[in-house]
Amino acid sequence: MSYEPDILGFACNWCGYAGADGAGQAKLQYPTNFRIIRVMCLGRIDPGFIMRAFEDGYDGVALIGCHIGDCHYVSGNVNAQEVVKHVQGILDTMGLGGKRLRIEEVSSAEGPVFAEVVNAFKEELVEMGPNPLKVAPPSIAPAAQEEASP
Amino acid sequence: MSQPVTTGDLPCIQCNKCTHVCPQNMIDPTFSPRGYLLKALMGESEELEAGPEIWQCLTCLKCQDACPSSTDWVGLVKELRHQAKGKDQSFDCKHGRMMQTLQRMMANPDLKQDRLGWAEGLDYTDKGEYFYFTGCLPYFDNMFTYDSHTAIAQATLKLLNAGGIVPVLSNDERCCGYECQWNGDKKTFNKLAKLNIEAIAATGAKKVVTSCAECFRTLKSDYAEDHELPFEVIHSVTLIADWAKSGKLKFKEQAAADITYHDACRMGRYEGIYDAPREILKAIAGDKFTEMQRVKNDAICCGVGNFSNCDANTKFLQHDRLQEAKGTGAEVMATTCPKCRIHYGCYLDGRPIEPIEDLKVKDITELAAEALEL
Repeated sequence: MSYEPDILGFACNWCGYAGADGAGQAKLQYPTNFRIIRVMCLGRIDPGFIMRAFEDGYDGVALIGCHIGDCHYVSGNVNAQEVVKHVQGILDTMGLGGKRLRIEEVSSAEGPVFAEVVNAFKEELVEMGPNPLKVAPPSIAPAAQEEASP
Repeated sequence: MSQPVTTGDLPCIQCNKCTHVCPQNMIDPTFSPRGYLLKALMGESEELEAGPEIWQCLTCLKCQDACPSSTDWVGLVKELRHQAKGKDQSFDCKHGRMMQTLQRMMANPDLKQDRLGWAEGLDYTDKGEYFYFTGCLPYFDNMFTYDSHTAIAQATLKLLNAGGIVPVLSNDERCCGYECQWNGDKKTFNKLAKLNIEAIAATGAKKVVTSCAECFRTLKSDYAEDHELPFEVIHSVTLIADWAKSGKLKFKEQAAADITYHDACRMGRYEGIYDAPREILKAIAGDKFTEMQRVKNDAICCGVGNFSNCDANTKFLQHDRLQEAKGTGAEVMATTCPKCRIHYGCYLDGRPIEPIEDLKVKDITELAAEALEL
C-alpha cells in the first residue's frame, strides 16, 4: 500500500472553509486524508492544538485562512502567521521538520487554489515520509487484526 | 491530654502554620492547605481530587518548611493529582497543554531531535566525563518569545569551557519530565527518566551539569527514587562558585547594574542551595549585590507551579515579588531557575498589574558569563 499522509487542516469560517466548499462544488479533487476542522478565525489556533495533532500522528498540519488584510477579525491571520513561525521552530528542534506545518491564504472565491495548495502540500509530505511519532490506526494495527481473526 | 490527630503518612497537628506562610493564601484567603489536610484526614480526599484546589497549589514547599510535624502536603498533592489524572478529572494545564504535549512526544523513543543549533561556535563533544543537561531551553526560544532562553545554555557552556571543561551535549537528551511528574502523569515521567538515564549513560558521563533548578531537582532526587543513577548531578552555580573561590574563573571587578537575587523553590527549599549563587553574585557585583527582605527559605514563589496554574493570583504574587526586588534599588533580579525567569519575564513583558520600570530578570549564569574576564 502506498503511503498516504494524514493531514489536518484548520480552516477559517470566512475564507478557508468557504474555499473548501468552492472546491467541492466545482468537483475538484483533493486528498481524502485531508481532514478539516472549521474555526471562526485562525487567530483561535493555539500552538498546543498544532502540537497535539502531531502527537496524535498527523503527518502534516495546514492552517488555511484569509489573505492578509481580509481577516474578519482584523488581524487573526497575522497572529496565526506568528504562531506558525514559532511552532515550525519547535518542530525543527524536535526533528519532525518545520515543513510539516504550513499556513496558506485562500479566499472564499478561490476553490481551485484550495485544491491546488492541498495537493501540493500532500506531494511534499509524501516526499518527507511519515511522522516518526505516527501510531497505526486501531483498525489496521497488527494487534487488532490478531484479535479479530479467530 | 489528648493525642494529636495522626494518620500514618499525615502527621498533621492542624496548627495552621502552613496556611499562614502559603503564598497562594496570601492572595486568596480561601486557599488553605490546613483545611485541605483536614479533609484528607477525615477521609474525604476524593473530594479534593475533583476540585480545583490541588491544581492551584504552587508546590513551592513553603508550607512544609514551616511545618513543625513534617507533614508531606506537597507529596499528598502529587499523589492526588496522579489519582485525579487516572480518573480523567485533571484540570487543563496552561498554554493549551503545550508542555505536557511536548513531554509526551519526547517520551517516544523513535524521536530523533535536532537540538544543538544554539551551541555553534562553542566547544562540546560526544563522549566525556561531564554531560551538560540543557533541558527544554532550545524549545523555550519558540514558546516564550520575549526572551532568549538558549542564552542561558550558551552562557553556561561558555563558563564551563572557561573552567576547562568540554562537556558532552546530546541530541538524545529529552525533557527531564518535571511538568508531567508534578501534573500526575507518572507514566510519561518514568519513560522520560529511563530514556534520559540511558542517553547519559551511553556517553560515559559521570557528572551531569545542569543550569536549571527544576532539571537539577528532578534528575538528582526524583530520578533516584525509582532508578539507580550511574552519575552525579551538579547545578552549574555550584561549579562556578567553586571556581570563583579558587580563582580558576576571574570576573571583572564591578558589574554594571545593581543586582538582587531571587531564590527558586527547587534550588532553595527543595535542594538547600542558598550560598553558591550568592557567592557568585558577590564575586561579580561586590557591594552592588543587595538582598531582598524575604530571602532563602523565606523567599516567595514566582507564581506558577509546573504550568498547572496561571491566573490573577499569579500576577499579584509576581507583582509583589518584583516590587520587592525594585525596592532594593536593583536593576537586575538574578535567579537560577529558567522557569522563574520565564514567569517573571511574562509579567514584565506586558501582563502587569502595574508596570515595573527598569527591572530585568536574568539568569545568574548569563550575568557571570557577561562579567567573565578571559
